[in-house]
Amino acid sequence: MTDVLVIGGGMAGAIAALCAKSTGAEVILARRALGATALSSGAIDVATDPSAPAGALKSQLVPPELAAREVARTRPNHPYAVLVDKLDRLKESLSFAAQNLPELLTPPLDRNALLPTPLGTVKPTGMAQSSHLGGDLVSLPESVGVVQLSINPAYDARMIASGLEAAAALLGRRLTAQVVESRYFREVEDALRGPYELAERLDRPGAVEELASDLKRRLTDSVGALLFPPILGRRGTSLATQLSGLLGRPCAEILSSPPSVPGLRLQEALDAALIRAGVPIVESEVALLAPDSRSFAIQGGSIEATAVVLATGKFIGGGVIRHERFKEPIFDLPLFAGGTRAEDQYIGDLLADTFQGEHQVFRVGVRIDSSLHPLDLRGQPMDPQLFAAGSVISGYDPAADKTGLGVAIFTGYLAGEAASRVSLAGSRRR
Amino acid sequence: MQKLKGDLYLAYRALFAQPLRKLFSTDERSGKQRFLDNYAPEGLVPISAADRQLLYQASRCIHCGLCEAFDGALPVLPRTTYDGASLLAICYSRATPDLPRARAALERLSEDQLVRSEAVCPTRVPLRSLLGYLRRQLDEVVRQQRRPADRVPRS
Amino acid sequence: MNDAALFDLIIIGGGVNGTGIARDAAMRGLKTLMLEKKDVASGASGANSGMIHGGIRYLRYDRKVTELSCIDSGYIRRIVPHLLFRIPFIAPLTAQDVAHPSFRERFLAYGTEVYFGAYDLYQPYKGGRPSVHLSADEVYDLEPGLRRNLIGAMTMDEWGIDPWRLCALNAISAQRHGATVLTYTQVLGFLRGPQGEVEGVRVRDQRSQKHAEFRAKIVINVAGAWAPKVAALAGVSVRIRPGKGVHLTLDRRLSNYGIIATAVDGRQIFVMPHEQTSTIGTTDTDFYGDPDDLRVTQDEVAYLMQGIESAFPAIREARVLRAWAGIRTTLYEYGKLSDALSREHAIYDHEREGAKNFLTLIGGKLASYRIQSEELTDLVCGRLGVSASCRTHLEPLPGGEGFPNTADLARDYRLPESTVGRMAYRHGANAVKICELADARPELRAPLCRCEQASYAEAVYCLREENVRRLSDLRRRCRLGMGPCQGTRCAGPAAALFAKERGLSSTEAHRELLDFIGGRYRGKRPVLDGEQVAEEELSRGSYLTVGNLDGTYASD
Repeated sequence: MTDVLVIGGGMAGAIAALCAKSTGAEVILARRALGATALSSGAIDVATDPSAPAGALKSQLVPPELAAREVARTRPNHPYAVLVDKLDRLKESLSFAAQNLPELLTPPLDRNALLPTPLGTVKPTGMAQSSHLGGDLVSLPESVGVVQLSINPAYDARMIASGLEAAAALLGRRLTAQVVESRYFREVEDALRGPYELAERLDRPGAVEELASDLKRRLTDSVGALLFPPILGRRGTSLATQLSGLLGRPCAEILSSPPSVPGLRLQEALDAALIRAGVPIVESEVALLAPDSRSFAIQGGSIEATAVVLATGKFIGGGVIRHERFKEPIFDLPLFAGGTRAEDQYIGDLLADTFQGEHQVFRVGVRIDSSLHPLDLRGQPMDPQLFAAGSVISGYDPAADKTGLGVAIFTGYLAGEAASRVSLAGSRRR
Repeated sequence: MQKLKGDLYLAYRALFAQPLRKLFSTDERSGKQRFLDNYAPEGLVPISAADRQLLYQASRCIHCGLCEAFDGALPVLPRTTYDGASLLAICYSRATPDLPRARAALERLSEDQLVRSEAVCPTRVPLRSLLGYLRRQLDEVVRQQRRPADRVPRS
Repeated sequence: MNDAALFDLIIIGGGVNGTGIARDAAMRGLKTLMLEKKDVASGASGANSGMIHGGIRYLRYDRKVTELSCIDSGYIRRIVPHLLFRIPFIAPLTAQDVAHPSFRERFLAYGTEVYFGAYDLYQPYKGGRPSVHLSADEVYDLEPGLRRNLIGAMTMDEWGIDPWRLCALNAISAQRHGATVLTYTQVLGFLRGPQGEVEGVRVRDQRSQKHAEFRAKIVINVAGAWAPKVAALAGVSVRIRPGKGVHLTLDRRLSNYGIIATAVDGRQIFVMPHEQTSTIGTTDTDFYGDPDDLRVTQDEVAYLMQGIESAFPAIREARVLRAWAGIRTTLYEYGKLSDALSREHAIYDHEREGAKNFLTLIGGKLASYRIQSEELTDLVCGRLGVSASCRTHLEPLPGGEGFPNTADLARDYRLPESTVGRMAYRHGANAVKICELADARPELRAPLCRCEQASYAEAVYCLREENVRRLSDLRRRCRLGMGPCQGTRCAGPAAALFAKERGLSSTEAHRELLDFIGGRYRGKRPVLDGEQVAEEELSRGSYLTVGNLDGTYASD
């Protein structure tokens, strides 16, 4: 028996659990495996201005909360729209996350930063891991070095440097970016190593010092800041600060595509925060023992919860399954894409003709009301003690809307708070 | 006219050529054996129903790479031999004729090196069972390759 | 481009006919130019089942065709052995009530046995194995996924091939013998002489937008589905009956054996292993649309899946990667069922229509490309008074000289043997050149496409040696992005590599990347289901959430 059961251990679930715990509830978090949070880039997308045309970088330098309101205005099914009356608490939720992950995350930014990506583009984001922030295109010095591991071609500094210069021109500022070779990694096998392995090697004693001294040999004084592949240490919060000290100039990681070291750092920091807060993490699938109940089979036993937060993610996380039809696997909740029922739709109808078109399929999820209750087919809350958080919620496409982890934090925070309130009220009545 | 000639030819084969061929055949092998002799030495071996279920589960891999972060074999095996657990799902288990080329990795991997990788996989690919299948199938392919030459028909 | 050059032969079209003729003509000493408006094998030659087969279906009414097909399959096996892989087929013999098969069912079963037995006579030409009759129990042992409605099965085998590499290698061989190959070069019009004779072509390079003119003694049109359009530019008419064929690709070999099934309309379809995937095919419908805008419909996918399910019920558990379509250029005959049309080829001489020195080759099949090319090259040589005879069946295609020892190469060059294995499949004897590249530049050992085991070294080799002009071309050379993840992991790094090798800016690289991703998406869209949806979510995470391509470039 527990006050609050959170199902799903990514950003939404972890924040929900931390919030519920902080308001006095007994919380258990169950997760089946890792998901999209562990694959995230290092950025926390809050919102970008949906009306800004592509390439209009200056227009993206807006306060994330303002952009979120624009999203709410232009996308009526987006969680920001459904929760528009609570949007004034968006920043509060982001601050809560940052406080729980103090060395990893910066506090929420006053305006979107433009962070460099592995593709040689920049990306507006409202919050990031501290190791990435130094790469903000707005505040980079005029001469930047991009580190290329000479033995490992996976991150291409030439592309990143070229893209950074192009983006700087779009932004209307001067910047030259040059490739700086690192020969720290020299073994034949290093060519084959992936980011996790390389990052682990940098955690070894003396490694970061050697990396720095090797770079110094090729660094000219004019290079004002250095951008690194996102492999600066597997554990903790990255070696960026240490490198900055050793090299006498700001050092930052670029964002990461999957497989992502920053993504795992984020996941592991969330797990550490949960443990610090006294929330047990149970690595197990859960299954409803009886419909309309809050009793679950879990890890060979069973558990009963007064309130439940469903934060199981979308397709990657397994919160929404598609096998000829869509299904939410734990409660069999009705699923919606935009405003319409999704279950039996032919997938071609939910996909645009081209890759960059508008795809309804990635907006499929559980419909919620402004109290984060999943709704049934009549639009009524399924259960006043059931809440949903994160990408299992319908109406937003984390990739297209650029609001992914921001929605996870915001809805997780509100859902955790509401779940706690409802469970404590229930226990007071008992 | 051509159609008639064609059909007549087939009738001839049906009434005479095929029955005579069977009558004078000295081949005592069963159909299954002849089929396997034809194809198994090239790695074209059958798969059991249970193993095929494993393959459907292996197909769940989305190549996210999380398994690589918890792969117990990566730090231990020669890096030019083994490139990570996801290859079991996304590469090695896709075609048995290629299995002998994965032998160096498959022989050295052990299931307990894959425990953590399997636990973190978002789509729950059964990496350990998959390794077991790959080993068994590799053994079968190798066994078929080494069969006595006289049983393999010349061609 | 040298505008003043006079060629003996200009070939319009870079499919299997175009590249095959280019090779044959160049080998016989003809000064040859081959023009292709996209990449080689972009039409039907790149959208077919990928088989070099002996034409078993012609056994009934034209055994000579079967014999010639089997002989020529044997030749192809000789010249490019590394590219061929054996596909055993199981033809189930079914009954409504397996305990009491009807007379018709037993007649059909025996008929199949007789038919396959007749085909056995020709199999030795191409190294095929004798057909085998299996009892029902034996079939279920060998293929437990089959529906339990069998009274037995007949088996035989054909060869599978990577058709893209076949075309690419023919083109390279042509170049080695002095031919000029220009991809992404579209014919806009013809140069005409005083009596209307065709003297050459006007072209535009699609990438540079530069125009040029080339002159030749003979021009041939092997543009497949576009042949009528090309002919119209010369003011002549070529009629084809375009047949659309749709295939599906599964993420892996479900079985090492192909299974023949009957679709709802009685047509024979199949699911078969192909390299490291399975292919389901195919449809055959008359097509009236634009060959540059081929889409696969929901109905076509449903038709194929339903048909396969009738023989192999669990097919719906498989992961379908993509659906693709091509246009067969069958000869025009009004009133015949599409499937019954002759797959044979025809050569038209347009002199009668006032366009002297202009010929069109229409029709044929992939497996007969070499013999079709020989026939046309014979004709051209006859016109030009060149007496050299065809040697395309004797000389190996590049890499076909021998198959390397993959274990030795892997050990000597410190590469994973699985990487060397796929490299050797694609490049044969030339695999060692790729290994040497990796030796000279150690970072090239890194895997670029892990699904298809294509290393950076292989990609660089293809970029440098194999007529690659766009990033998407690489998928036809080394299967980049053609595995289960469809480029999720490798497309970005591949674009960066392409940019580095070609000196492109990041903007140009992104254009190539978006073109590549767009191509992958078009294939996925009709069949997205199961974990492929999760894969797409991950892919979008990589390119849009992180890479912000849509925030950087407007879609056009």
